Amino acid sequence: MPKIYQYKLVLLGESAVGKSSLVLRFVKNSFSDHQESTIGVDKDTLKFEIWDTAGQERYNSLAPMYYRGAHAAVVDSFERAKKWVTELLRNASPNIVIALVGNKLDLATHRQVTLEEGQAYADEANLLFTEASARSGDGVSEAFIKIAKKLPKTEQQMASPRLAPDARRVDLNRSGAESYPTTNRCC
Amino acid sequence: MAFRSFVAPVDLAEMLSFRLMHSYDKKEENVKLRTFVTLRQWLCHYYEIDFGEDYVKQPILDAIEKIRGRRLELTLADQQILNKLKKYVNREELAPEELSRDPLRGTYLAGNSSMSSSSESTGSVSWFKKLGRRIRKVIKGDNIEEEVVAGDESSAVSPSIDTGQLSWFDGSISLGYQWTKCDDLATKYGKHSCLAVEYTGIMAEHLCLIESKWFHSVSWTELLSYPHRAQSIDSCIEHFNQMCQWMISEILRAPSHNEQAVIIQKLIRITLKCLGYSNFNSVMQIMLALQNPSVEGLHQAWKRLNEYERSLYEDLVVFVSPLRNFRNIRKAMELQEVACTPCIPFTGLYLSDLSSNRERPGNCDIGCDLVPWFRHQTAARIIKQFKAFQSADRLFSFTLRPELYRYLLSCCQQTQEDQPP
Repeated sequence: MPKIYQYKLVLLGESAVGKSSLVLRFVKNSFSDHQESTIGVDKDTLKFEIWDTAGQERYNSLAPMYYRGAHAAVVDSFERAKKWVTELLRNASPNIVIALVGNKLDLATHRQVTLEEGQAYADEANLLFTEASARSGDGVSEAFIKIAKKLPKTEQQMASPRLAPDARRVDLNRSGAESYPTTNRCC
Repeated sequence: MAFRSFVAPVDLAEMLSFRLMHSYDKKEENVKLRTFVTLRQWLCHYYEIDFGEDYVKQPILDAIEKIRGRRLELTLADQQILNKLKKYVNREELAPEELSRDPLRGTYLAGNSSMSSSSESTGSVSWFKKLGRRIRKVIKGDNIEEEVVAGDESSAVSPSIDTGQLSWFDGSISLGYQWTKCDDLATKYGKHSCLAVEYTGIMAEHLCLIESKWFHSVSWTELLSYPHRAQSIDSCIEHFNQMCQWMISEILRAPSHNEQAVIIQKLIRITLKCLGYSNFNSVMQIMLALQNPSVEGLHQAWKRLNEYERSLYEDLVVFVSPLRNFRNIRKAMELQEVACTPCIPFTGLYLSDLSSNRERPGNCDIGCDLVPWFRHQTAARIIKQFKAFQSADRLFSFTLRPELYRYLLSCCQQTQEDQPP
């Protein structure tokens, strides 16, 4: 029987690198409006709780609140990636999966970081690396699927049956920071 | 104090002294505390009027000597009461000026029951509980009643402290003066943190004044253009981070677990107080500092907090949590929007709203010349909300202690230097 797992995923990066667009593209496009941000991997279903730091990137003191208890982190900007990775490894949960996503693939002429450069750094720091474009939608769901495949599927991550799936739908009309009603503290 | 209006001061002093002696003889804790509080209240508020002549003070001083002379078994708290009372009578000490004595003694230490600690803390405990109910209400989303806590016990007593208004202070003061004053306070605090020494109310008020200054410096055009061309917002955020850093370092540099616990519980109280003043920015700062991994890891210090304080902290954590897009804070801020009381919202929420609004895909695709009307409308609505809090009638009117104000500001700025680039 297919199981349902639930993960907390946090988006980190500079402002205006397109984090929110990336999520919106992932949630809105790859799946229809009325579904959750879920991914099917090997018959099992994975649910992401996506926390977006939109607009609050410079509140350094706020970041720990976001990445606490996160199972995965998507780092969007290459320049600050090193800083984020050290901070995450020090303070976040030890098994956190970190993915470096190069966004704005469609603006290839303005490319600042080569594919090799990104890949080399990611290999060195043991990160996932992908490139995507929120505008065209290329590579967006692939990035999330890559993360999903790397996440550990343990009993702890099983979504609790108490929460009806409908209650945890991403509410796009409110704003970027998505989260879900849970009875427990999430961070 | 109703007696004051029809009893001569000297008679009243005699009656109260007798009551105090009696309570010590019979070991009636409640009466003792109540008498002390009454006497203190009287001494603090009516000193100029009633205690001009020495013979009025005499009965109280006599009573103190007599109680001491009887060699009763006095607990630490009892002795404190007597010492304090004597100081009040001789006008050696004003209520908010706690600096001359050991800073940690009067504060309510966790682990003691509220009765055995000094009486001033019992007053604040009941106040504390009141606020606790208040914050639960905020969390549950009920309407908050009008300011319960404004004008608390400590802010009421400040007759001879040199005071000034914010506007006065913002004028030109030479730098040299500023530094000597700051150093002065720093030497007074010694190795203790100013958070442990100063009164909760005073600290909360000064945090409000500081935040208010930063908040009113933000212009709405910058809010719209953020993250580009937004100098005031950048400095605002930098200040926010510095405040957080400063609080964290204040906790961490405390010499003992006990003092760390004192600072932590003081910060929890300041948070509640700030919540009462609708200063959401400070609430966020303090709560982020307390939730920082390095502070949360101080198990020894946290263990020293009592159950009630911890439950308050848990409530506050829920209050500031980013769950459901900062639902609780948003709700509380919405309630403040209609009221015309001073309020400092958490700017980060507006920034995140505006940024999500910007990144929201429009109805038309790229290459379309149509104006994204709805997006502009939403942005205008958000800015309007923000501007409403900046109106001139929403300034705090607290009494400012310039030296403390400057001390706090200089502390934050130093924190910035300590940070790695």
